[in-house]
Amino acid sequence: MIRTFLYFLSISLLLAITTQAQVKDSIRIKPLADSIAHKRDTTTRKLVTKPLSKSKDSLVYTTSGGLRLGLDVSRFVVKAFQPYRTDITVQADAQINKRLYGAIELGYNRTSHSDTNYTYKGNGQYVTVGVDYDFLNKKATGEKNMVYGGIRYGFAHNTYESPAYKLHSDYWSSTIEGSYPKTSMTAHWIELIFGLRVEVLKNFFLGWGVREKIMVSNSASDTFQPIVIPGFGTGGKRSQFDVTYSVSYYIPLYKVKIHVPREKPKKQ
Amino acid sequence: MKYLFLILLFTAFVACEDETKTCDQTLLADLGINFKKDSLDGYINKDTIWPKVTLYALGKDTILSSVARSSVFISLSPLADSSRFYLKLDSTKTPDTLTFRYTRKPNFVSAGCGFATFFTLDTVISTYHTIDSIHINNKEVNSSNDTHLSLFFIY
Repeated sequence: MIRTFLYFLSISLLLAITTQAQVKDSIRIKPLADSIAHKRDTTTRKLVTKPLSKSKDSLVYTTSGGLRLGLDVSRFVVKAFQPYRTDITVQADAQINKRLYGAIELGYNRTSHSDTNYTYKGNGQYVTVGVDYDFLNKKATGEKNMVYGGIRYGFAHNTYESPAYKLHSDYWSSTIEGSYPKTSMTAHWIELIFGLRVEVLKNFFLGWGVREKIMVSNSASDTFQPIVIPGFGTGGKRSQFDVTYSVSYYIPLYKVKIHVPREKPKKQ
Repeated sequence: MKYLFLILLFTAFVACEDETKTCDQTLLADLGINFKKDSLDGYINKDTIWPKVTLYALGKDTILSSVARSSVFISLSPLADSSRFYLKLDSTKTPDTLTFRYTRKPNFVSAGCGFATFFTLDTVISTYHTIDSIHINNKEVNSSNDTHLSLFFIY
């Protein structure tokens, strides 16, 4: 319980730092936003470039698109609470157009547990693929902060076994020993995500997300569900809630066209 | 919105608890039997309480000794594919012997509980001194607290 509280506290602190960083960002960007909208000046931000063409209703800008590579650090916190679990998750996302980002996540899980009743060993990999939709209205065209909702398709392959287990019966005063052989299973699920990513240093992002995972199909036998399905969570569950906290680095690679509606001149 | 977020976070931490530490389900896969009084040739069946129920597996310890019961739970033998039980319902009644034939299967209940033996009933054989008839309601004997068997009596 105390550990839960401490964890909660540390996450809250991290969140506070993130929020603060965002506030600073918006203050810094505000005058820039005005200058872009009205003067189309070159700004101090390198990411903002010249308008490509003029039309009556909108201006087309290009902004730098690239690959954001991240590590989900919340998986290391999971290890502290569930010592039998070792998870590593890397994330990547790339901007497709103004609002849409393609996202992919790769991960590995190893589960190992041993007590007086049974021993368990399992390991597997997973991948999720999907898109994020950015709700945040940008203050500057080069701004990369995101408040997003996303959807993912997840697939996991897991191998697991129970090298030894015991079955007790008090009434029959018996103990039977057995083992469950190495078995492979696959799982498919859908994830719904809400989260944000904030550029705290140049090209360096912190982000958190909450996600609900809904199992679509799971090939594991009902008599022995794996303790952990990589990327999903507890085996045998229909749905699973999860929180992620990631640090990522952004590598600019290409240009993305962005349409900015032109503000109508005010009538005086 | 702020509170909703806090609640969401808290549920996440609850979900993060060590699942190998606690066993929240019962590991006992007991066979449940209830007693029914059959009146009007099976048209009216009512639950009935027998005043002095004595129950044990042949050659094993006593489960119940002269107690009033409307239902009983018995633990099938995990060592063999059949087990036999002695059932006496009242001091004046002739005792019956119930023989169960079944298949056994180890089942992983949860990370905290480990494995338990689950049974699938195949046949129930009985003497019919006091028992009139037997009805199997559910063949799957797992950790759900179910009534697998109904014993009918005419008196």
